[in-house]
Amino acid sequence: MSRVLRILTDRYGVFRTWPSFVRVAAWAFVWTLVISAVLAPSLPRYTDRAHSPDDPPSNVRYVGPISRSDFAGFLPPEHDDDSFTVAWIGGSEVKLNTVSVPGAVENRIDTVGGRPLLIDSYNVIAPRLIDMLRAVDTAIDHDADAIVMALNPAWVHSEWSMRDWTNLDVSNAGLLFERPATASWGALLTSPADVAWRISRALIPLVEVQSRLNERADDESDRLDLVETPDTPAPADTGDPRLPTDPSTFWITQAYGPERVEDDDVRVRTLMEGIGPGREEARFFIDAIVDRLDDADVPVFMYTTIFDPDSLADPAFDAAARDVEAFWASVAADVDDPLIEIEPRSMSRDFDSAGLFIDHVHMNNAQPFGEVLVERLCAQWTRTNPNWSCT
Amino acid sequence: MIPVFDSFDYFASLFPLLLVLVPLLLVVRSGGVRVALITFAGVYLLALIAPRLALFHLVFWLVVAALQPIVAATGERRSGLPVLAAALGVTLLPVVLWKVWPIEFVVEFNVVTHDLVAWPSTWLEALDYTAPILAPIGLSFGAFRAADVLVRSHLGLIDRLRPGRVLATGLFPPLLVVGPIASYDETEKTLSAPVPLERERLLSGTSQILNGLFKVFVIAYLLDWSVEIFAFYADNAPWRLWVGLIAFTWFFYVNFAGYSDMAIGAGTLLGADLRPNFDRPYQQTTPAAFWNSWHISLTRFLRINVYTPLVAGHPERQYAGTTITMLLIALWHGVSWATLVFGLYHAAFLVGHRVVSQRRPPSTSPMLRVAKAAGIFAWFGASLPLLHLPLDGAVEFYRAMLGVAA
Repeated sequence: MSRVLRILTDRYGVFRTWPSFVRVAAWAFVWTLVISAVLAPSLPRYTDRAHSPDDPPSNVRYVGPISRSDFAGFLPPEHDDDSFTVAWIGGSEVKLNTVSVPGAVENRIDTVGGRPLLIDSYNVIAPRLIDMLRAVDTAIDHDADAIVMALNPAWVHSEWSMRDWTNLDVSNAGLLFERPATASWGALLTSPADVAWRISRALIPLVEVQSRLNERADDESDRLDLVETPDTPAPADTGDPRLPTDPSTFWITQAYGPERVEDDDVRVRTLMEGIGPGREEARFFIDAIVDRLDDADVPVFMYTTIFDPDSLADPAFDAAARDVEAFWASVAADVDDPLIEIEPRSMSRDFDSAGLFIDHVHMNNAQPFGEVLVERLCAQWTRTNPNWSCT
Repeated sequence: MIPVFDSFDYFASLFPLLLVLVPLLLVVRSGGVRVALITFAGVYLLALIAPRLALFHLVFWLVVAALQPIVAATGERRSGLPVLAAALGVTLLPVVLWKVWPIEFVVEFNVVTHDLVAWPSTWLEALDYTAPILAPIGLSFGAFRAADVLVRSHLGLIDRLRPGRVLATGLFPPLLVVGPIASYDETEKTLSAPVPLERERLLSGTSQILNGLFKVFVIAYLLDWSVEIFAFYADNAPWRLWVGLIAFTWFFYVNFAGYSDMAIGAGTLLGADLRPNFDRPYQQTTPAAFWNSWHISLTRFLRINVYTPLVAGHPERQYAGTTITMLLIALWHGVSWATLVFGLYHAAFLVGHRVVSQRRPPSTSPMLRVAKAAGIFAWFGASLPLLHLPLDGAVEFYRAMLGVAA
């Protein structure tokens, strides 16, 4: 016993007697409780992730996680029965910098069925299907009145949906075990760390808000940073071109050679075409998403992310886009729930979208597309419930 | 750019797994089952990082398991030495290739091991695709641990081992990612039979893990900004580089020592008797004492396997032995002109200090001890740019520190 104390005393200097040990343990426990009880609830329940304000301004609430490893996942506010709440799920094609597709819709609709429109944007950069599933679950659990999903052409229809699963986080892991169909993937991809974090997240509020606390801690610790960094940041990847650290780029390079990643058009097209095992895993998760939406009993509008017409003018890119559209058409063909509407065709083929894009899928102006979507969404909502007219 | 892996991702899974593994190892008496449990835990934890990484380590240790009985059987024969040399060549070849051609090795490591993992099924292929692109994490530590097993087998210190025992030694979970380079005898006991988890062992292991977490997540966290000095030295005034380098010298120690503490603490809970890897290096007052307290497992490995065989019975070779040992320590971090200079720099100080100290009696003045410890800190910190920059970059860094940048 005395040797134990000696070890502790040598190492920490404060555990000189057993009472001192108990005292330190008690204080540590008390402080943990105080911090958990006082600090954690003082943080907002929905994410305070920094994002560029929409231009033109909108009242869309961005409820996505701070990062893909944010234990809190999506944190929408409590449902407001007096509002018509739409959960808008998507990635950078939905909101990038100041351009916001849900913002463009929100600007055009005041009320639905007499209730003010409220849009919660479940936004993650490059979401995989597992993120979409998690977002769908959260939206339904928070009683969303309607759901809109943007279907990214690169990430959610091929084996790329599995690749570089850095966003498999604690909340995703739980989802996998809740469905027999995905339980085997849960067993393979859920680490003991995920389980531990998930349990401690449920028990200790401090853990749930850890990502946001980390951000604050980073801000504070940055005050110590004496190193001056240049105003113009270094290029993102200054490494050896033979070893791109981004897995997508790495595996494309290995499969097709470096020329496939030198031209961005070709790179994106290759991402859309996919390499490797195929689309079985993607279909696996899509079926789980559709099953969940089936049970939700709310109108769901899923649309293939729209493409820049300039990109579609390239026959090779157009072929890849049509392949994506065909995939979603096949999914749509199997869906018989009248509340779920899937638009597999890129809607930019059907309205004047020239000059709206900064690249293949990202826009510099979402307003014209917002107009198209308002028409489609309001039609669907009114079909679902004749009283849900838009104003 | 070689991909960076956050070692805590590994420990974040190891620690919860201990809640299952420690009780199991306390009740399971069968050596075979213990070996299987430990091996499975190691492979599982590596597979969580990437299935291809688990396959790589498994194949590596299977090769060692195949070589060990041959080396043990030929130890006392005339052919023993060539057999040992060949076995060491096979064992150390991957790490040498990695250090000499890091980019090419990492590319081929990922491609070849991924293809092997993908070969049985597209399902495994998809699973492996979920993992990031990786360096062969843990290979440097594993290769030296394998070499230790082979050398001891050659010397008759280890009998012929069953393959499972070699696998469990190699894949002992706490040691897989950040070492330390533990000898076979440090993990041997727990492979055979339960090691009682008395209160002393429990507290020692737990407190060491907490100690490591404190070092990494409190002290190192507050100092991690200092890593940027190597990327932005040209944009900073000399005083910022001086302060940054001092902070980095602490960061480098605290981060590495913290992870070593976590590994040793976890090993202690699993019944291993892992020796310390750091022993207050910045309080040492001589270069020799510093290296005996810094990354002790590496220094000890090279002292036993390189320095002692070179110098034993030949005191005139001590300076050459020191130089070769320090060069190997340097090259273990990577093969470049800068690491070569790092090794020569430290060898020169070690030899120089030994020559001078043989002529002067050591002082016992407390003030002088503090001054000497500060000198050792400065001497070591000054060499760290050589481990983090190419040689021309390191020269530019030193010039920038002195305010004479081009």
